[in-house]
Amino acid sequence: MKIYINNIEYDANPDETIIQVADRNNIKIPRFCYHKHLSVVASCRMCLVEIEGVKFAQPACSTPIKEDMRISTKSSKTKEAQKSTMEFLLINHPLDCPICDQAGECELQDVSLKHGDDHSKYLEFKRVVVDKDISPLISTEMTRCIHCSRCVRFGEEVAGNKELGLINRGEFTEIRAFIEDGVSSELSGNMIDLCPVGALNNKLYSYKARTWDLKQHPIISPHDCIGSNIFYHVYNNEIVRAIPKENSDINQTWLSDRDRFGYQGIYSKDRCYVSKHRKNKTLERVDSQDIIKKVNNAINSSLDKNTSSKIGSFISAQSTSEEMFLFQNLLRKLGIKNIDHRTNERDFDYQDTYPLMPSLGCNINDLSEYDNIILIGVNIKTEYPILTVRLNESVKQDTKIYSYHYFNMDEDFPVEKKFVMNNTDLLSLFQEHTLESCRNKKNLLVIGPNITYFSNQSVFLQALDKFAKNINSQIGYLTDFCNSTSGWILGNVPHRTIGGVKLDNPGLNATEMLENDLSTLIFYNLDPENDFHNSSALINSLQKSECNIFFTSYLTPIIEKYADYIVPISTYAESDGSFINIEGRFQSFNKVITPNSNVIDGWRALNELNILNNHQAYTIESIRSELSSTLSKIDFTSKILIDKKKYELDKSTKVHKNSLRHIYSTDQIVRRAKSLNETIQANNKSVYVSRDIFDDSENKKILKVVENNRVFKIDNFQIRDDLPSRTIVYSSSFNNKFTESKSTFVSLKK
Amino acid sequence: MNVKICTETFESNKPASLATYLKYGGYEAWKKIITEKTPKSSIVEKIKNSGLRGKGGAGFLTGLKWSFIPLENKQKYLVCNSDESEPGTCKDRDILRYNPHSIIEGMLIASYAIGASVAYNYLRGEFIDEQKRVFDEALKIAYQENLVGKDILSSSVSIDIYSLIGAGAYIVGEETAMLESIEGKRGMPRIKPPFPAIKGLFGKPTIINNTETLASVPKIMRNEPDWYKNIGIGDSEGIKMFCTSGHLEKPGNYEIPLGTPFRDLLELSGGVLNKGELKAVIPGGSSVPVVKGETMLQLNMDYESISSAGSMLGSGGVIVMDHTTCMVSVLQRISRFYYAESCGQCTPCREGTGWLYKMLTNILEGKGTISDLDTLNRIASQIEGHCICALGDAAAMPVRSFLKNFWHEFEYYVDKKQSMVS
Amino acid sequence: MIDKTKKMIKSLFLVEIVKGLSITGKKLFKKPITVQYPEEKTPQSSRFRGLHALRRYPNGEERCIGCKLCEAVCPALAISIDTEMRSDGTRRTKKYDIDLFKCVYCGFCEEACPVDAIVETKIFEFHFEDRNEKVINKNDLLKIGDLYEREELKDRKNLG
Repeated sequence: MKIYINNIEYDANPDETIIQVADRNNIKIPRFCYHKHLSVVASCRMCLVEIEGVKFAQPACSTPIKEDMRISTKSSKTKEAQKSTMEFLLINHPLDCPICDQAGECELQDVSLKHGDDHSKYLEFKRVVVDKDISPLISTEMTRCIHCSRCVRFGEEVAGNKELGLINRGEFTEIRAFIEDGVSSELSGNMIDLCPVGALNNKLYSYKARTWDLKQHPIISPHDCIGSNIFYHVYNNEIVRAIPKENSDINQTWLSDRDRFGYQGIYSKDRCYVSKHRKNKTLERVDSQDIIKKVNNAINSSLDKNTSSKIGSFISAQSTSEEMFLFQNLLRKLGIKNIDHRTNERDFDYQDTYPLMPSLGCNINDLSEYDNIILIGVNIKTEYPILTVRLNESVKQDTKIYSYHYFNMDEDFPVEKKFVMNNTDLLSLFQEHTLESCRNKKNLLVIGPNITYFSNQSVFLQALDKFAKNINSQIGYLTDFCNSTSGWILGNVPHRTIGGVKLDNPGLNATEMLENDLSTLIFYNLDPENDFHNSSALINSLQKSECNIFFTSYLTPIIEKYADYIVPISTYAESDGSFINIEGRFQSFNKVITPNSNVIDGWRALNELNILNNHQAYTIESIRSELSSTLSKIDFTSKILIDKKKYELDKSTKVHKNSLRHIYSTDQIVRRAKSLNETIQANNKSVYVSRDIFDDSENKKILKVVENNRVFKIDNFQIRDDLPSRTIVYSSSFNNKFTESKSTFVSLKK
Repeated sequence: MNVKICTETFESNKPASLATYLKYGGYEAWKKIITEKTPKSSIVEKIKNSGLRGKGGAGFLTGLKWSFIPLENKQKYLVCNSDESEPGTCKDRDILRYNPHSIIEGMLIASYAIGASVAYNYLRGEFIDEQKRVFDEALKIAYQENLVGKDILSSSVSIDIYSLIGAGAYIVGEETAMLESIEGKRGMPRIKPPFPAIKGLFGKPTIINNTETLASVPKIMRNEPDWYKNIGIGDSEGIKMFCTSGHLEKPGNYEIPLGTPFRDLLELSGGVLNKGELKAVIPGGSSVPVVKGETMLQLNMDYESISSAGSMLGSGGVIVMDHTTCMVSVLQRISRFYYAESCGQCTPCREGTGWLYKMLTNILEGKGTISDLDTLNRIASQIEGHCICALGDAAAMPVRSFLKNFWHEFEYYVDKKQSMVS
Repeated sequence: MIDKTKKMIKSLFLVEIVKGLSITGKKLFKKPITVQYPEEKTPQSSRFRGLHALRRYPNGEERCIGCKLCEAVCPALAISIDTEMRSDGTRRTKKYDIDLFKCVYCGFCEEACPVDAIVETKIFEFHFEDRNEKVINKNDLLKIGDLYEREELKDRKNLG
C-alpha cells in the first residue's frame, strides 16, 4: 500500500497508522500520549495532521492509513492545529522549568519550542493540584501533568498492575494513585521515563543535577539473570540516576525498579575503602599496594603448610565474568580445586547430571511463542520483574501460564492455574503429574531459584525432568544471581573446569567446604551474612579456619570479626566487566565511575595475584577474547542429563521452613539500596504459619521450632489459610536468628 | 393528520401499564415477528425504507446503522441510550415514564434484527427515582408475560434486557463513553474507528440507538411500509418529539410531523410568554448553534430547513428566548455546562472549555475587552473538530453562533459593562 | 611666488607656534578633564557589569533556585553550582562558586537568570591577596548582594 506524506511516496502496511509510517521514515510528528508499546488513546491531540479531503486535521496516532492517502505534516492547517493544541496544553502548565528536573529533556519543552507560540493570551487562574507522596521512588508534581495517561496505560497494559488512574472530570482531571501511597509495582520507575513532562520524577535524582550536566554510560544490570541494558547518568563521578537502554531483545524500553535504583547500594555507608590485615587479633590498615602481596604470601604459605585440599574458595555469582575467569584460573593453577559459586545451595548430588549451565532454553523474545509456560518455584513479580512485561505480552497472544510454588504468590499477569503445595507434596505430585491441558503443545517449564534452596534439590530436579517428559516440555532455568551462567561455564564449580569440562577428581562443593574444617578460606565478593545457605555453619568454619581472606566491597560484621585479610574491591560499576545472561548472551560494559583510590579493581587484584605467581598476565581485552573463544564452543541449548539413580521419597511429616526473599534482598548491592528498602515490598516482616501447625501447637501464642537441635521461639506470626500444610514461611526482612538457615526441614516442639 | 407514535399512551389513565400498551396494538409487531420468524434482513430493510432517523441528535438513518452490523453468528449487543442529558431535552424521560413498553418492544425488535441476545437500557443517573422504577416495573411484567427472556413465547428466541443507571455524567450520553461506562470503566469516549457496530461493548459488535428511535420502531413495524415516510409534511419524512422550553406560555413535549412550520410549534406551546417578542431560538438542544427569532419564524421543523439556517435539529430540545434575555449570560451559562461536563480526556476540550467559561465570566463581571471577543472566537474554532467526541464541538458551536448572531450585544456589554437588555 | 612669500611671513612671525600655544593657553584656564583616580571616579552606567552578587527577596529568602542556567550560559565556564533539596523541599544551591579570573564580565549570567538572583554590581575595584581567593562562594555573593541591594534597585529603576 502506498501513501504520500508531504508529497513523497511511502510504502505502508494496511494495518498501520499514520504515525507508524512517519516514525519508520523519520518524519517528525509531535506527540505526547502516543508510545509504541502502549495502546493508542489519541487524547493529547498533538499529532494532528492534515489529510487531503478531510475537513479537520486528524490525529496521526489513531488514523488508519488508506490507499493513496495524502498527508501533510508541514501545511498551515497542520501547523495551526498543532499550535492550538500546544496553546491549550500550556495554559494550565506551571512553566516552572527552572526548578523542574525534567527541563532539558522535557517533551513539552521541545515540542513547544518547535510548534508552540511564544506567548500566551491566557490570563485567568491556572490549575493547581495538591501532590501526593505516592512512593519512596517517585516524586510527583501533578500541577505539571498534561494528562497524556501514559502512566495509567503503562500500569494497566505493561506492568499488569493498575495503580494510577484518572479522577475528577474536565479541567480538574487528576492522575492519582487509587490508594494514597499506593504505587508499589516493581516496574513503577518506568512511569518516570514515560512521563513526557516533570509530573512524575525520580525521587532519588531530585534537584541533584541538570540533564545537560550528565554523562551517559551503558551498563548491564547486575541484579537478575535477564541482563537488562541500562544507561547510568553520571555527574561529578557519581551515578545520579539510571534509565533503560533500549534493547528490543531483552528489556525493550523498560527497566525494573531494582535495576533502576539498585545503584544506590554502591554508595552504602558500609562500603569498604581500606585494605586491612589482622595482626594480634586487631585489624590494621595496610597500604593498598601491599595487600595483594600479603594475600599472596598467605595463600602460598598455606599451600606450603597444608595440602591444596585444605583451602576452600567461594565466589559470588554476582561477580563479572572476567573476575570469575581469573579467579578459577588463579586457583586451579595453584592446584586448588575447592571452588564454588553456589553458596546458597545445599544439596549438590545433582551436579554431575546438570547441564553445562542453567539456561532459559529460548530467547526472551520467543516466550510468547509457547502455548504454556509452567513456572516452578519462581515468582516473576518479585524475582524477575522485567519478565512480567514479557509474560503479559505472551498472555495477550494466548500463552497460558501455570505456577507451582510453596507460597501463594501474587503475579501481575493472569495465571491460568496455581498449585500451592509444600515441598513433599510437590515432589510426589511431579512423579505422576501430567498437566492435561499442556499435552502435545509447545511447553516451557521454568525452574526458579527457590528450588535450588531445597535440601532435596536433586530429587526435585529429577522429578521435574520426569514431569517435563510427561508433558513433552522444554526445561529452562532462571537463576538467583546475574551471572550464575558464568559461574558454571567458567569453571567456578568444583567438578568442572572452564568450558564445562569434567574433572576426574572434583573438589569440595560449597556445603562440603563448610563442613570439612578447612584451614584457609577465600571469599570473593560475598556477603557472608546473607549469601550463604546457612550462616551459622559458615561462622563455625570461619572460627576453625586459620586464615580467612575476603575480597569484598562491603565491610559486614562477620567480615570485621573473622577476616584476616580484607581486600577492598570495586563494585560492578567501578570496573570493566561482562555478564552472561540466562539466554547465554555475553554482554560487556566499561567502567562507569572511578572508585576511591584505595579500592582495587576486582579483576586487577586477581590479575596481580596471577602475576605474583608467575602466571600469565591478562588485560581486559585478552580475557574477553579468551572468554568469547570459550563461549563460541558452547551450545547454550544443552539439555539436562538424566541420572538413572532412584531417589526415595521422603514420606516423613516434618515441617517445611521456607524463606520468602523480598525483591530488594536478593543481592548484596540491592540490599544496601536505601530507597528500595523503604518500599512496601521490603517492609513485610512476617512469619506465616499454616493452619494445621497452629492447630497442632499447644501454645497458641508462641511456637517452638527445633532446627539443628536449636529451639527457636516465634511469637509474632500470622496464620494463613492459603499456605500449604505443615509449612512455615518467613520473609527475608524478618530479622531473626530463625532466618539463618534457608529452606529446610524443622520440627515442632509441643 | 394527527399521528402519534411515542406519545400515544400519554393521555391514558394508566399510561405505563401493559394493558394500555396492548390497547394501542402493543407487542403485535413483536409477536408477529417471532411467530412468523420474519427474516432479519427484511426487518432492517423495512426500517431502512421507512426513513427513520436517529432521534438523539445526529439524525443518522437507523436502518442503515443496523445494516452495518456483521452478519456472522457471534455475540452482539444492543444498547438503548436513555442517558438524556442534553440541556433543553426532556422527551425520553416522558417516554420512559409513560410508554416504557414501546421501548421494550423496540429493543426486542432491534435485538432480533441485528442478532443480539442481550440488550441494555442505559438510563441517566437522575432517572433513578421515577423513570428507572417505571421501566423496571414494565420490564418485570414483560418478563412475566414471556415477551422478554429465554425462549420467548416458545419461539426458541432468547433476548435479555437489562436496565442500568448512570452516575450523572453528560458525556456518557456519547455512545462510546456509554459503552465504557457499561463495561464498568470511567465514562470516556473511545476513538473511532473502530466503530461500535464492528467493535463495541466488550469488544463485540454493538448497536446503540436513542430511546425515542427504538420506541418508534414497533409502530413502524405494525404499519404499511410507506406509512412512516408519509407522515412528514412536504419533503420531510417521519415524525419527531420536540421539547419546547424557555419563554413560552405552554412549554412541553409535542410530537409533530417533521416539516411542521416553527410557527405552528410555537402556537402549540402557547406562544411567547406574556406576548413578548421572539429574540432567539436554540432549535436542538444547547449544543447546536442559536438562530435569530425572525429567521426561525420562517423555518420548518425538519433537518434540511434548520440546517439551511446554519443550525441543526439535534435532539429536538427547542429553547425559546424572548427580548428580555441577555445573550451574554445565556452563553456564559451554556459554557459553564460544557466546562463542568468535559470528561478531561483530550486536550482542546479539557483546557478549552475552561478557558471559554472563564473568559465569559470575566466579560459578565465587566472585566472583558473587545479583543476578548476575538479570542473567544479563536479558541472556539481551535476546539472545533479537534476532539475525540462531539462534546468539544458542542461547546464551541454555541460560542461561535452567539458571537456571530449577537455580536452587537457582546460589544455593548464589553463597552458599557452592562447588559443591553436590562 | 606669492605662495613662497606667504610661507616666509608665516615662518617669520611664528604663526603656527602662536596658534598651537593659544590652545594650550585656553586649556590652561579651563577645568581639567583628567580624573584623579582613586581620589576621583568616572561616572558609571547603570548597565555597568562589575563584581557579581546574589540577591534576596525582601523577606530575606535567597532568590537563587539553582536552575544552573547561568552555569550553562557562562562562556568562560567560570560558574560552578551544586544543587540539593533543602529541608523545606525547595530547590537550592549548596555550592555557588564564581572564578573571578575566568569571568569575562559579559553579563550573560544576569540575563539568563529567571529570578534575577545573580547580578553584576557596579563594584569594579577589588583585589585578592591569595590566589585561592579568586573563587568567591555563595556566602560572599549573598553578602555582596545584601550590601548593594539598594544600589541595585536604583539601577534597575534607572533602566526602567
